[in-house]
Amino acid sequence: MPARRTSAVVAAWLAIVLASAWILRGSAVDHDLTQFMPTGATPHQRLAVELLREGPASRLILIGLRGGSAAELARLSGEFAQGLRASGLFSQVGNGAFDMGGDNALLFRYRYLLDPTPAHEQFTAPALRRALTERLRDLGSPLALFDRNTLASDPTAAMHAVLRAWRPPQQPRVSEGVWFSADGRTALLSAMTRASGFDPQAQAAAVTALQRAFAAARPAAQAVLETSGAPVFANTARAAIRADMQLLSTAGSVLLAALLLLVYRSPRLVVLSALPLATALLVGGAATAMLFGSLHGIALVFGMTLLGVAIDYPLHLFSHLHGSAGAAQTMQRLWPTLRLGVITTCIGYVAFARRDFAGLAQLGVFTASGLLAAALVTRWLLPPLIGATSAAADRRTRLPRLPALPPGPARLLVAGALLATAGLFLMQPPAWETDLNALSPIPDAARQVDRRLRGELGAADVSHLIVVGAANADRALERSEHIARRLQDAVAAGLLTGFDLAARYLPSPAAQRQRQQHLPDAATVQRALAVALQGLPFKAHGLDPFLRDLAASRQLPPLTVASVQGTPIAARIEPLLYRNADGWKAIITLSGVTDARAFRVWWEQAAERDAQYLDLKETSASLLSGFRESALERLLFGILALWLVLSLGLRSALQASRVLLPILVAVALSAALLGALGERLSLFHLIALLLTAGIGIDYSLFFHRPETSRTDLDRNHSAVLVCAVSTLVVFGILALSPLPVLRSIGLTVTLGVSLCFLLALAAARLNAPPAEAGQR
Amino acid sequence: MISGNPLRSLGAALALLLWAGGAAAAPLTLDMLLAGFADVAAADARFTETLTLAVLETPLTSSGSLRYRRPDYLKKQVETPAPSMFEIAGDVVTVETERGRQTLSLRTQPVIRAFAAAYRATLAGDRAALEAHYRIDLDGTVERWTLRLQPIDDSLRRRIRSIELTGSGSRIHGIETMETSGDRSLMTIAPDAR
Repeated sequence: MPARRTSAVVAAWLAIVLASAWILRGSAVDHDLTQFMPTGATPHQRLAVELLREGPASRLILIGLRGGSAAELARLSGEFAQGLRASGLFSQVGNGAFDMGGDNALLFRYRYLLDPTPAHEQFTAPALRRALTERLRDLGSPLALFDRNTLASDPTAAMHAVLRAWRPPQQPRVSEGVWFSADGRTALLSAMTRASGFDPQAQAAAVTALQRAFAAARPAAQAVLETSGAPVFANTARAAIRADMQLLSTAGSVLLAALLLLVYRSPRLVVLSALPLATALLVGGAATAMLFGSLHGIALVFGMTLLGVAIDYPLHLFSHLHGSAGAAQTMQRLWPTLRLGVITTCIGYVAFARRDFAGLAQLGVFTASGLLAAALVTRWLLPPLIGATSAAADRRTRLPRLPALPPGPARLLVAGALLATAGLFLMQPPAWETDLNALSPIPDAARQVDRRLRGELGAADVSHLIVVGAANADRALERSEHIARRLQDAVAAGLLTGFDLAARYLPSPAAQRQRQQHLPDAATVQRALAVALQGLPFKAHGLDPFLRDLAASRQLPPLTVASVQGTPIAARIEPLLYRNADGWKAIITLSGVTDARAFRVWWEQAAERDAQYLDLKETSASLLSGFRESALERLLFGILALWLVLSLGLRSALQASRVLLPILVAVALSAALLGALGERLSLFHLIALLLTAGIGIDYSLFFHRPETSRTDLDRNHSAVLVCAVSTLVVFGILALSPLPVLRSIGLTVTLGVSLCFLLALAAARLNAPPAEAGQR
Repeated sequence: MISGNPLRSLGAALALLLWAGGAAAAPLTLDMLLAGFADVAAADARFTETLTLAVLETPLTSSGSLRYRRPDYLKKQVETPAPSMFEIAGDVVTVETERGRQTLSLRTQPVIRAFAAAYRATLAGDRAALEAHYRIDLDGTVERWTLRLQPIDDSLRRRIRSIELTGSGSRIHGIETMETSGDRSLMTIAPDAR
């Protein structure tokens, strides 16, 4: 290759790499797990995904404080909660001690509109007398000192009723004034992040604030902070994957470099072998960031995994370098096979890209663009860079020899694989993972903590919801109030234990107006009060402030979503009332739904318009199974497309079938074996199998390559062997990871690639016996 | 009102008498007063409380018993006009009325904690704890002293202007709480006759 052309290629490569790096520098990596869920086909499913992503479920953090005496934990709980509230990152922090989380002047002013006690139970003479007598008795308590100043304006303690209504529908055991687990060893708290799951950076800040508030609350040495919930999981997953990936990929790279050094005995070639993969990562990342605006963390991790196939490209080239032939010449000779391998792999990866499944779409773009870049680097950049070392490399290289596989064992291998696959599928078809949580790389221990805290906090199950749609916020509150009244029947019937809704904190304007209308006029209440006060020691005009406030309450404009901005009410209703493209949604969270089916039956009989009952767990399971079906469908189309491309590339449908079949068998057998090993197949396994198929087809193509000489054939087999061993090293290490995700990917690829290698070799051996190998 | 270790109480009383007799002109110091209280291990008494509120025509009167156990147990049992119970044990506050029982932790209620310190820190003779929450003025002699506490914290100062304890030796005769609203309560304390 002329020097000028070489420098042009190097310059173009540099330009692309620099541009990619520049694009990547400015783009954000997001970590929203639900991106790796389909957005849903039906409006019902779309709503469920939206709620999983942004609703209360995506914001709730469960907290346990352990270690130390109950009194010390109660103190810690109090200071910790105060720290969390002060951070401003949480819309609600509960620890059992009553706290409004802000100024309650507005609540006090609106107490007669917010108090859920019906007016006719409050302002009759007997009711007033009862309330006033009670209040007088309470004055004996030293605590009365703290609300004695409201005696004249709120003699019936309506404010207490408002505050009582703010308590969670269900509470854990209260001891020492704060929530405790049943065994009394863990102080419990719950917190809602202001940021939804859609804003992972802000949620990460909230999770960090947990640690900071804990440290600031002066914990005793033995005190332990336990946290759980979606925001924490997202954070943990991110950190765990990052740490583990770093360790494993470092270990993998070192081992791989050692292996390549051992085979090629040239540091230069080892460095060059990394060029296509490195370029692929940069270009793939940049292309994805440009197309989607951001890069998903999982797409990045999986993409890096899938791009691992690119390490094979230079290895084929290096292994074939020999004698007088220059690197460029060797490359030219290999290019048709390599090109076909790249194209088929791209087809395989892109087959799974779906527009409605953002994560997979990103993954498709990432891998396809990356692979193309890797192929082009191998084709155009590596040969001139290898240049003169080509001959020297050949002399030094110690390619491992692959012992010849006699036809007998080859036949046995193929037949055995077919039988095993069929047998395993018939006996025990691999089970699918239906729990979305299993997709998250959260260690089992963390999930146990989650289950425990969720159980102890009781009300914290946010996967059963009723979503009420309306054109505006007022109407959404009103409709949810109506449904809440009907839900009382379901509570009475034992279908659920409680529920929470925005209207509990902010009644709809209609409800407030109705309460206003039921407030007695000045003359009526004065008469009732005169009767009630007989014999009580109140001064004649002592309760005038009460009468004034009651009269004023009849004229107050009802509170609305807009007018409570910046008050404790706004913080409370934030996760339960929101606006989306279709209008306003009010969420009613249901707690203690033990029999979802029975509740659904009741709900369908209730026949409420514009409201839907969502069981988020069930919906996500059905989403996953829907995805699975379409994935299998795509798999079939993908195989067909592969076969067509292979037929075109090899100019023979028969040859294409010979290349493809052993890989299909190997992948099917891998899936069957995984099932037999007790793995439940998930998205991660599918992606790993996809990678296996991509790598396998390359092996099969090279094994089926007609070589002109015996040496070339040996070289070819040795090259594939080097590729296979390098893949097994990297993914074998991954299989050792304690993280379920990484382990299942590692296990699947290790198993799959071994089988692909063996079956492709056996098939090639049967298809082209060595005697005919010399013919072209 | 003093019970518990009689020797100790006797010792405390003797010490106070010696101070009083030996140096009649020497004023009572806060440390002396608090040291006397610190020696009291347990105390039981009767009380009568009069609440004078702006809203009320006539003051409210209630009566019952008080109990103290060193270092941090206080109980107020109201017997008339209606029974109720208020107790602080360590950090746990328990309120019991005919409508039920409620507990809360002082650790999560800084205002109540500061308020309770007026009694608990005084009785325990814990000067540092008392000074953490109140400005302290002590007047009078061993036989007749007045301890005036004015809250330092804003949250408490918004409600309470002062708490005045009067007594002689290590006995408290009365507690008068003046609220910022002008309302006040006066509790007179007499040894448990029973």
